[in-house]
Amino acid sequence: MRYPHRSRMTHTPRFLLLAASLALVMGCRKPEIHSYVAPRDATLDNLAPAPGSEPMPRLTWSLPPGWEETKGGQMSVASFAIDDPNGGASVAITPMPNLAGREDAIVNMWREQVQLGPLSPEEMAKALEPVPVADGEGRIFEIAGSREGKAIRTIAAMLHRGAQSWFFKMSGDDAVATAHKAQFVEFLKSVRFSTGAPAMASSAPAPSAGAAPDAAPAASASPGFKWTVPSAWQVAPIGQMQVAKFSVPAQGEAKADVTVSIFPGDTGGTLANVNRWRRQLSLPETDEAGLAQCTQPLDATPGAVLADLKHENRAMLGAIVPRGGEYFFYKLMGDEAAVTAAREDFLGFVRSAP
Amino acid sequence: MTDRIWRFFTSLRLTVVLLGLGILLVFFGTIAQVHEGLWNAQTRWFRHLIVTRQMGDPWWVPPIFPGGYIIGIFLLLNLVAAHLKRFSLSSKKIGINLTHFGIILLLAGQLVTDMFSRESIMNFREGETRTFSEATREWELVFTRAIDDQRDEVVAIPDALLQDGAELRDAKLPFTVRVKTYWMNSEPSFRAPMQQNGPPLTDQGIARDWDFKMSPEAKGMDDRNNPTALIEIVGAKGEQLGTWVASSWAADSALVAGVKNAYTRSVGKDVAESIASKLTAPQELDVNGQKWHFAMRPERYYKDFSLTLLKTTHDVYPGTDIPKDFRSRVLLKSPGTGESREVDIYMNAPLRFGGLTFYQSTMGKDEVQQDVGRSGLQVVRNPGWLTPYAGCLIVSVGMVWQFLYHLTGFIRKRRAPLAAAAA
Repeated sequence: MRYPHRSRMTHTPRFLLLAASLALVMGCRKPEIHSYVAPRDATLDNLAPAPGSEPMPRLTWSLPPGWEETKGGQMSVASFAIDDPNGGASVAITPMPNLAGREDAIVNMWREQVQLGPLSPEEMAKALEPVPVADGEGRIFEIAGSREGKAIRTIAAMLHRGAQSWFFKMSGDDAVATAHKAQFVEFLKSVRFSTGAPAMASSAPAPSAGAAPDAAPAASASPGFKWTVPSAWQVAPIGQMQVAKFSVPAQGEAKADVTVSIFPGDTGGTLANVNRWRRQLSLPETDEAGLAQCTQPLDATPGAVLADLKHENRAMLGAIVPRGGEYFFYKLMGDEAAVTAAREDFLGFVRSAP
Repeated sequence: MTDRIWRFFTSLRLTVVLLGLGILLVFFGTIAQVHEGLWNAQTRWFRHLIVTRQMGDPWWVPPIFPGGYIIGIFLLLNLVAAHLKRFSLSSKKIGINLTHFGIILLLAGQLVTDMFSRESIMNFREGETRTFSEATREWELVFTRAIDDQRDEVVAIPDALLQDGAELRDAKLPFTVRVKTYWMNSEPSFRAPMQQNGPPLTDQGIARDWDFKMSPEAKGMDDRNNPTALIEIVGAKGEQLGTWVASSWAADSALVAGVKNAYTRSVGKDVAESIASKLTAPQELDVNGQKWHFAMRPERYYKDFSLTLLKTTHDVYPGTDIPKDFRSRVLLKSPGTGESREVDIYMNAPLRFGGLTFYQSTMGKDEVQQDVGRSGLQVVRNPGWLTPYAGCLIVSVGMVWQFLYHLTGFIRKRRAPLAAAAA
């Protein structure tokens, strides 16, 4: 097949134009920043933060003399130590989801911790007194009790503010807490909430004042637990949702681990958690009646339970211990021989203050 | 010089070489999918001018090889140049010319499709209205500022610009965005009280409660990367305005629902919601009195019309999970044309409007409200969608013409001796 030849001069410009166009098309794909005006975004409506999770305000305060700021607890945004010749006391500021209307339950829960019974509505009305906190009015109450034969006192104030309830709690030796009550009340008045992006906050705290760098209940980088860990236990890498993990001494081939998790709630209650543990041992789920068969109260700690589970050479001791508004979940799980051998150490560990 | 270029592009040898390279390219690109995944292999081998050997490539990958773009464009130029050189308008050549023109149309159409087509997803639940669709693979870091009660000013930075160390500026932004780290794929983990042992990525925003770490790049067609960027905001005078995390995990309702569900199983619903809400907490900058929110979200393509999902229908064959019929009834409103009509979109019955085609893609229940239906429409914009049909038709006509032309000539030649013999 022969093609008739055409003049190159006739077609070259058109051809080059085509080639240039293709090159231009290829060059159009460079990504660049662009801006536009769009209708207000409603896409994330269903992702809106739940009440209590809105950005935390920044806190500032005036520190009374003799108070020393310490590293905040796991749920608290600030804490202080009071050193006194008569003993010691500590103060903590802790935000929680708004608990307005549940003051009675809160007071009674704290009373339980010092082995006091619940108050009647009339007694509760008297116990909860108004107190100025920051720019609002909170409620203050006192609980005097004993722990290990020692007189202790808790003076706590709560302020419901927006999506949060703020708890200011001074607790310690009875004499010290009583002596510093006036300072504590002044401290409550000095607290100030400010909003805005923390990084852009322009108001630096005065030298005599303190500030929570950011009032989120995030933990410090260091766990900083005070609990008593048996010397034979080996620290192990923690997993998701765990705060600590240990390997207990092996009994021949039998091995077991201890894990600790802490949550701001009871994560579904004792039955749900025990059933979750039962499933981990391939045991069938139980009901409230069966729960009593496999759990027992843990010493005198109010609300604390110990679950004792065994199945096919595997065993588990699980403890749920409410402490200061948080729930500590302890679990010793592994081969039965190792679990049995570590039982007393485990119980001692659970009882030790974290 | 021009003469040599012209001879080069009109050479039939070039055609043969390019076709040979094309065969090798298809071979390499197909085998590469085993290691690179379908999406990455297609992008690397067929959507680049040049393919160069990279670390970790199998031994057979050449150091340098022409990519799909260069082979396709050279083939197109070669075909056009050959036509310009040899074109003649005669009945004998009409078939050949038509066939070649059809092939040119196919090549050009594929190039247009590749360069300008776009697939995205419009995902909404019953009752929701959408004026945009979202990319399935591309992400953007957006800074938004309210300009009135209804509208936001948006500055969008495509993920392609989010390179480690990049400094990004825009006239609309009163600050510079410095990218400290960009992970194409990432995983989040909640900084549970007392659990975390290391410091957070930064002490601002969601990073106080959530850690993020790099994950291997997703390579499958059905897998998706979820990027996270650690960005530093620098004021107009060079002052540091903080370091923040912008993560896709915080801006995608499906991802957040997945996180929530995962934690619900281990810690219960209430705590899981509290944990998830710390991931979606809005992040805001206050710079020179302007409040800017920022987020890492799928790239958005806004339309000048809206679709409202009125109803979803998801029927299965009785006793099975096999879909029988799933369709979305949407209300189309277009202020520009004044249209306001209800449309059913279902399998093989897409909605074509505004140069876009809406196909029924996914269907299910809303992650938050389980009694509310959710629908995903695949939105396709392809300005070259007609070219394959037109190209194939023209090639067919040209081949039939050429065949018939030769057939009639052959028959005529056979008849001529017979007629002569009869005479």
